[in-house]
Amino acid sequence: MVEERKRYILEFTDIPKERQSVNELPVEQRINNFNQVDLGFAEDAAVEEARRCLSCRRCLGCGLCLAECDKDAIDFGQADEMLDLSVDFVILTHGVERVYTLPSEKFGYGRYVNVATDIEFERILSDDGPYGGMLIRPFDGEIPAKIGFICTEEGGVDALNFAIHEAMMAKKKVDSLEIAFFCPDEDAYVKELERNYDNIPGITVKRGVVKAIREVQGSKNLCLEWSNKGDVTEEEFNMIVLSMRPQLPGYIVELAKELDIDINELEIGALLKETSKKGVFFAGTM
Amino acid sequence: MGKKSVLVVGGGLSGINLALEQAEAGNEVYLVEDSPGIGGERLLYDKDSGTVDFVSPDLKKVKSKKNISIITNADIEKVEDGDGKFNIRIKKRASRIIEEKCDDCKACIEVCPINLWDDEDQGLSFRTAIDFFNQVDSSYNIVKETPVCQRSCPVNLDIRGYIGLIADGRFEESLALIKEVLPFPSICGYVCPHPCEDVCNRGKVDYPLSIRDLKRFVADKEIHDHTKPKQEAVKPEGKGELVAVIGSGPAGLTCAHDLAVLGYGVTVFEALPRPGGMLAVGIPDYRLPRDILEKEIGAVTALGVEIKYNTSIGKDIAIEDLFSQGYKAIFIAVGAHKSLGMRIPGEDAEGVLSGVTFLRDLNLGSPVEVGKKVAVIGGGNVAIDSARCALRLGAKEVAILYRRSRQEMPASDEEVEAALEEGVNVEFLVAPLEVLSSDGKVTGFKCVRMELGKPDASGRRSPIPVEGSEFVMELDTIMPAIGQAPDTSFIERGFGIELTKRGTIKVNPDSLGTNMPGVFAGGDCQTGPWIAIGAIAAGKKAAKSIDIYLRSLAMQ
Amino acid sequence: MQYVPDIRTIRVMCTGRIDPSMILEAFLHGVDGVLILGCREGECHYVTGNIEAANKIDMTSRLMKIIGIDSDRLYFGHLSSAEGARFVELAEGFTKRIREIGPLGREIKEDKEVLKFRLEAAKAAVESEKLRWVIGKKTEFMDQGNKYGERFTRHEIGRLLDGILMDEISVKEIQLLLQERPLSVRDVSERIDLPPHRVLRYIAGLRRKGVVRLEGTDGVSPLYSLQG
Ligand SMILES: Cc1cc2nc3c(=O)[nH]c(=O)nc-3n(C[C@H](O)[C@H](O)[C@H](O)COP(=O)(O)OP(=O)(O)OC[C@H]3O[C@@H](n4cnc5c(N)ncnc54)[C@H](O)[C@@H]3O)c2cc1C
Ligand code: SF4
Repeated sequence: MVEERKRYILEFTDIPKERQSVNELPVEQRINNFNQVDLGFAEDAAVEEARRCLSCRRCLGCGLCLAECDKDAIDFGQADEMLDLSVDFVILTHGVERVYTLPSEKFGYGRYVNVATDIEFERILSDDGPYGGMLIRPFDGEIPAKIGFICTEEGGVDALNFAIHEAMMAKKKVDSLEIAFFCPDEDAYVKELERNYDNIPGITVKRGVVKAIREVQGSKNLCLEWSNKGDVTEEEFNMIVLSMRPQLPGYIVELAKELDIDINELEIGALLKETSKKGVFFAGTM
Repeated sequence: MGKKSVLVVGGGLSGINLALEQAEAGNEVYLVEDSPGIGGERLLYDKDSGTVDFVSPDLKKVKSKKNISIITNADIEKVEDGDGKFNIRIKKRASRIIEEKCDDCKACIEVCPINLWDDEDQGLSFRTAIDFFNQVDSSYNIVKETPVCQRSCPVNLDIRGYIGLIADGRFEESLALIKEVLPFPSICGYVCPHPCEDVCNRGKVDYPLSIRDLKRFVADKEIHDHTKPKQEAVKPEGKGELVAVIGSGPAGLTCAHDLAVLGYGVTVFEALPRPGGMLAVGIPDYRLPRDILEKEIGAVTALGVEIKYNTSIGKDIAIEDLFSQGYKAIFIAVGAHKSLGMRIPGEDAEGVLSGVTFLRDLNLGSPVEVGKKVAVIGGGNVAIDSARCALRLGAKEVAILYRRSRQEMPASDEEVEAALEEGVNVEFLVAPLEVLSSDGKVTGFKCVRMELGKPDASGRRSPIPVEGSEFVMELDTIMPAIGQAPDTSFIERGFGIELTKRGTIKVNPDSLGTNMPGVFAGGDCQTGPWIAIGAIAAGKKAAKSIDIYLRSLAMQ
Repeated sequence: MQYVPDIRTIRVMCTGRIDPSMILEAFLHGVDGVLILGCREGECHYVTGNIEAANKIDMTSRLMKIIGIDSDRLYFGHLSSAEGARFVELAEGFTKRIREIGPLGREIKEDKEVLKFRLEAAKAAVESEKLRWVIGKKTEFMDQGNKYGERFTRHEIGRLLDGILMDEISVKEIQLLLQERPLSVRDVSERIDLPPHRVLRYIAGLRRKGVVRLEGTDGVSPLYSLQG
């Protein structure tokens, strides 16, 4: 069973199962004629293939909730509503979308459960989040003693800032927590971190490039290997948090297109300001 | 300054604060949020005091403000800029909860048998199919989902349904279900580039379902087993009104089919001697056998639809004459057949032949010649088909030149794979500079290597030439396949139908109506070159709009 | 009955009256197989009794598969009252098959306690309102459709049941364990066949529903127990 971002979990009894293959005309027989190449499924292969379908569906419409609701507050037949408005100003806000292609294989996101994104970590910290505000790691729900934050160049200084705030919050929750920041050896990053040293006692900053992350058998801790100017060092953490590149949500991009606004104008992190389109404003802060 | 109205998009912390600010200034505020509730907690950092804390937005306050309307679970469908005002259409998705009655007792959550990946909590816990949004904003909703495959399909086909029926061995019912919306199951089963498979959830687990081939299987089965379709096409009772359809591609034929089923008399005008549009004169036989195409088009004519071949609107009949000939509505579905040039020197030399022209001649049985060494320019399906056909006609070496990389290639993966398998050579990151010729005949091709630049805000990377990397290929045939535009010359001569900047026909996206009453347009001529199922969807939409239009005419 | 000495018969009015919990109860008492014999399809005295039975038995055998018990140990056969020979044939065939599989629990490598635990969780699951409700809706879903009027294929019902059953079993196992004493995620994971991160997710979900609460911490591990 695989758990993927933004996907609900079903459990399956038949995974993995290869795609059934269709018959094809051999390559040698394709020259000098225009005969059909893809020959389609045989019947049993078709049925086998069809059985792979997960029959995706969320609410199954069984009505048990309605049967349980004394207030009769559920209406399965409710229809979508259309509203037409006419307004003088439009303010677009940015939200918390992240680019998910960033944590490449080498950071192990998706493979190692204790590697979380900054947005996931925000949920972990939040009282309203999945763990009721308890700082625990996603693999076994244990309280971490040592967390590594990886700030990548793609993430930029904005993402670093967000991570710093998370680190402060994490310290508030678990006093003895050790935190290390891994960031590119560049002034912008280091300055941003230095500004905050006082606020996060116990923080260490490691400059350089993260080479690889390995999961430790059993403990599921993460062994992080990084290099600075050729020196390679290894260190073990209970949990890793990745800074992700912020991204405009799809619906904002769509809206900007409709309004004829160049999306490069919509600067993430910027305060409220008017765009080149009169009457349309954009707030880039979270 | 009088009271103004403001739309705030996004119900996060900053959206809520901005809404409050605006409301306090006395403005009328609409706060629109995509998810079912507003204001999860987010980290906030106070720069002055250097403290960090979770800040819960003041939900009570926003909710109690009379001049703030909170619209959750909503999509913005349309924004229009008109007269200093913005006209906005919002779709509020049904929550299926009657808010006034719900008292947050959680009884429903306890019994719901469905465990979902919790989007709000980044999948770190479960939520049930009926659930509250978050502790702060306890608005409930039911998560009812149309499967992603179905949502990605332009005609919204019930894929889960027909695949389930195949799994149960109920093949005929499966086909019947498909035919409820799709008049051409075989054609789609053969050539659809299946956007559904790209998004299929099973793909995240192992491999996506072979949705297209399953459709083809049930459609083929009817042909092979000679099982008569359950409902023989009955010629519906005539309604009298006549509709003219221009072009017999998938858009035109689908519209004709749906209108005929509704009882209208439909005439299809087709410039070429054969029906099917690009399906017939673009897609080669080895991908779509002619008998399949003919059989499915035959089912449309069996409904009483008349196709007038070799009748070009604009040349043989003027479009404005259609109304005087008694047609009450017109659907323009002329496709995009005008091949775009490469805009480089030497382009008119003998031996330069556009991909679509080559395929059309080949498909219509006109004599076509390809040389020994062929270069096809472009990265779409037309390029791949041209290359594979050239190879089948005996070209010794066929190369496809594409200016971006494999990732950006619009042609479907299977097609590229098949072309490679058959020996087509695909060169990525190459752009043409000049056609070299002697005595007016092509002898070579000067090209330059490209590299991808930095991604822009939308993540797209444009190719830029690598300096000093020019090179010359020796060859005798060049086939540009870099795009097509609709041939709208027949409209441009008077009649006054508006076009877009891109040269496509301008329509109202809701109805596909043009600026002329009674004239509708759809398919490739409206979207630019796309895919058959997109054209079919347009045909269906147009048929619906034309029906509404004609009924309103009759009422007057 | 003397032809098949290993079989003990229990009479019920109609197979439709057999509840999945009875079948699991029988296994908990140590039987090696359960053979259910009912009227032929369409010959039910109570019209839909044997269809309901088929639905419930199908669910039970899916459940058995999930907890690792060979589903051949449960068989639903049809015959009419006049077919004595067929009865003998079915019964003999069934006992032969059970002999091949061996005594209950052979297919699970672990000990008797584990088997008992899983069967108890399964029984608790089928006794829950959720599963009773869903299984009761099966025929309606396929013939008339659900609350939205959508009809289900057999395949889809199967997918759906498998998903719900697996969730329910895991949840019931967790609940049974937490009933004894407060446990950490790792403790629970060691006792049941589920990786810790999945246990954590279920526990997080159960906390959200107010079924499970945090009891305190033991070193770095939070402990959970059942709510009141
Ligand atoms: C080489 C090639 C391969 C393709 N492969 C695929 C594929 O694998 N899968 C897929 O889904 N899509 C594919 N497509 C795209 C697909 O064929 C088109 O998107 C689809 O056919 C568009 O349908 P249409 O009805 O809008 O226009 P068309 O199919 O182009 O039909 C328009 C018709 O109108 C006629 N016409 C034009 N002007 C006039 C006039 N003035 N008077 C009368 N008649 C006129 C034309 O002759 C033509 O028959 C391919 C396209 C090409 C060119
Ligand atoms: S598994 Fe794929 S084909 Fe089946 S319903 Fe889900 S998305 Fe559609």
